[in-house]
Amino acid sequence: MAKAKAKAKATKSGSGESGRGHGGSGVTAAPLPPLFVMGRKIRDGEYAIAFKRGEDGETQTEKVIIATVEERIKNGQGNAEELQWLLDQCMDLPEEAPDA
Amino acid sequence: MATNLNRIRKLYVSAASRESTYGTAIATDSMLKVDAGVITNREVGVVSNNDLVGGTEEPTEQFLTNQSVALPIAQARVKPHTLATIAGYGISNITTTTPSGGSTARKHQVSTAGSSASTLHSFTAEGILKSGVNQVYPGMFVDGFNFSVNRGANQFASLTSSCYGCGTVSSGSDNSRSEIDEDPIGGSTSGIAIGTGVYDGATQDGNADVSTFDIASATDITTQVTSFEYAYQNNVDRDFLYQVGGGKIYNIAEKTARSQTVTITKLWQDDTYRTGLYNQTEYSLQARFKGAQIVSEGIYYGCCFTIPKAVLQSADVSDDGGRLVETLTFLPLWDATATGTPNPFGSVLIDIFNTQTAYAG
Repeated sequence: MAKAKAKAKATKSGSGESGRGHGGSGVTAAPLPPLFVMGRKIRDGEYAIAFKRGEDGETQTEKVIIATVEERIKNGQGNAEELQWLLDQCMDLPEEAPDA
Repeated sequence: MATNLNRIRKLYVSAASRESTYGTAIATDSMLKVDAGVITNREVGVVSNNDLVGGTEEPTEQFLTNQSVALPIAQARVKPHTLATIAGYGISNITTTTPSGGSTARKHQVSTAGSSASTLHSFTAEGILKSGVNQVYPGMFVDGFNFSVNRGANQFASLTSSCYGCGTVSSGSDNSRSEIDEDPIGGSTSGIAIGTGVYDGATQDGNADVSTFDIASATDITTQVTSFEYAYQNNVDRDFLYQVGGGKIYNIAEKTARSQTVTITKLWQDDTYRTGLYNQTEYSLQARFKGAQIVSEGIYYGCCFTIPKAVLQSADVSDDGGRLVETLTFLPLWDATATGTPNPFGSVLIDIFNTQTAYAG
């Protein structure tokens, strides 16, 4: 565990560097909040949620593995608010699986 | 007499932006630490007039016919940035999104679905041979690349590619491009599966879970794999790049039929896949490689290859150091399903995870 922590820490400082080497502004802009487009259940505990960032954003589909997302929230990994939003979208979906 | 080493000291590429006009150099943005021995080969063709009736034994004239640049880019311990650059330009279709819950992390999806049907994207490369000797090679495109991971003490992934440039070379002055600092791709934490069901229309957004697959009825073969290899070719006919009226250099690479193969060598278990070869069973494939976490966002460096539909071309059983192994060569098929991402699914999806905001934009 201690080893894993050290690795994560090293990565953190590393990725700070990476922004500067990119030739652009060097700043990674914070993404816009997601807007729900559509969703479907793949199988128990797994959903596909389509969303876009901003009205003119490109629609992207992401797989939501409930257990993984819950774990990320629990461990404080990532944007908790956004992850919770994702879980809420999954819970609001109808239960039936898509056509096989 | 100074010795010049047979290696470019530094190789810079325009990874984030592609050339808006083929062969017109744009600024590079990052350095790739590539394998030694990649000094660019500037190819030049000449003809003389000694084949003409009435000529002398020694020709009296010689003419330049053509010029081009060949730049093989190879990287042991390939980094996500290099794979995204090479695969992004090779397939010429790369989409970047911010995964849910991510802030600095990005997911780049390279796919044949929606890739340009007419031309390949081009980038500018700059090689520093030694201090003050910078050579700028515009009009670079990727003809093909090969990604592989092998079982063994060193499980880092390697990438080889063949890139060609239009043939014009100018001097440059960039000295400050740095390598993108990120975790290399390796097989030590990975998941490889062969499915008999279909791709479910969404790949994982965080590259976190290597044992959950995005294909149905997946058989996890990770621990049986001795090598995984993905090969992509644009099959560019280089002679065809010299257009009539286009000067003596390569012009833009027009699309021809691409080809791909996935080769998985694994410990032989039974005749399942030989039967699959005879029956031309449709499989789906996925190979996910997970590295270190990106900051603390629950999203991990690495990549994932998804082949929504494939059939076996061969399934040879052989000996490998006393073990029985089978070499499964898959031919990716086009999957026209249009209920997910990408739309249609296409023949391959390569997800790459790092913090870069754009490729070939």
